[in-house]
Amino acid sequence: MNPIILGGILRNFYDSLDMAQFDMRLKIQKVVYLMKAKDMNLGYDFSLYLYGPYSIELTRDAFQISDLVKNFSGIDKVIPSDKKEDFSKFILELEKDSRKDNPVWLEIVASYLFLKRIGYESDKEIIKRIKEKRPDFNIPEDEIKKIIKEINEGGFFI
Amino acid sequence: MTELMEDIFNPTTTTATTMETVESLKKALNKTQTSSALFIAVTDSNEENGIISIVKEKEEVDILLNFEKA
Repeated sequence: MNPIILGGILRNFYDSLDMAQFDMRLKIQKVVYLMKAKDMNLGYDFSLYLYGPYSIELTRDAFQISDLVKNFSGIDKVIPSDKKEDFSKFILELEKDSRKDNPVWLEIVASYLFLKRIGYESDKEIIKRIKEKRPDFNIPEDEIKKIIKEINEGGFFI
Repeated sequence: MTELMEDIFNPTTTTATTMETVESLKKALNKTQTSSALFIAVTDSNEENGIISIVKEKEEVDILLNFEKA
């Protein structure tokens, strides 16, 4: 996708784009994946990697943005014109409790939705798979369950 | 390229984890026959790059969005 448009989308969530930071790269991956899961597809194919859904093409494009501009300067916010209402709700959901800045929340929710999409049925299986993703994943199971319960009850992402 | 790859590769991955993951992925993928999307399981036990597992999703229909300034 055109990196400027991608930048315009990301600008709705973040004021700066420091691609040197791992957390920033992770947040971008998960936010764009969550958009896709909510039928706002920016055209990236995701695969499940150690930290959840990941698109190498998205990483390349995001690096292009940071090469083109510093801290989003000169990039206007862009919204999907045929999904305005959904996108507004999406932004609000991610702003709730600063979810968009919480790498753990983003990783767990994006992974959960990805695994659901590929056919995992029970939350028990999904939680097991999330924990197995990488050897250093040390988020307590209760925390994972709490996040999953929250999004199931919230209804927006499911 | 090295920087791009660092998000993916984890040299500490163990073979046991790899095999368990492969099995759970295979099991999950068998349930996707009626899904509107196709998913391909790819595994690579190459110790050099350390990938444990990749589930690659491949959309049959790719509906892209139109955009406008906010």
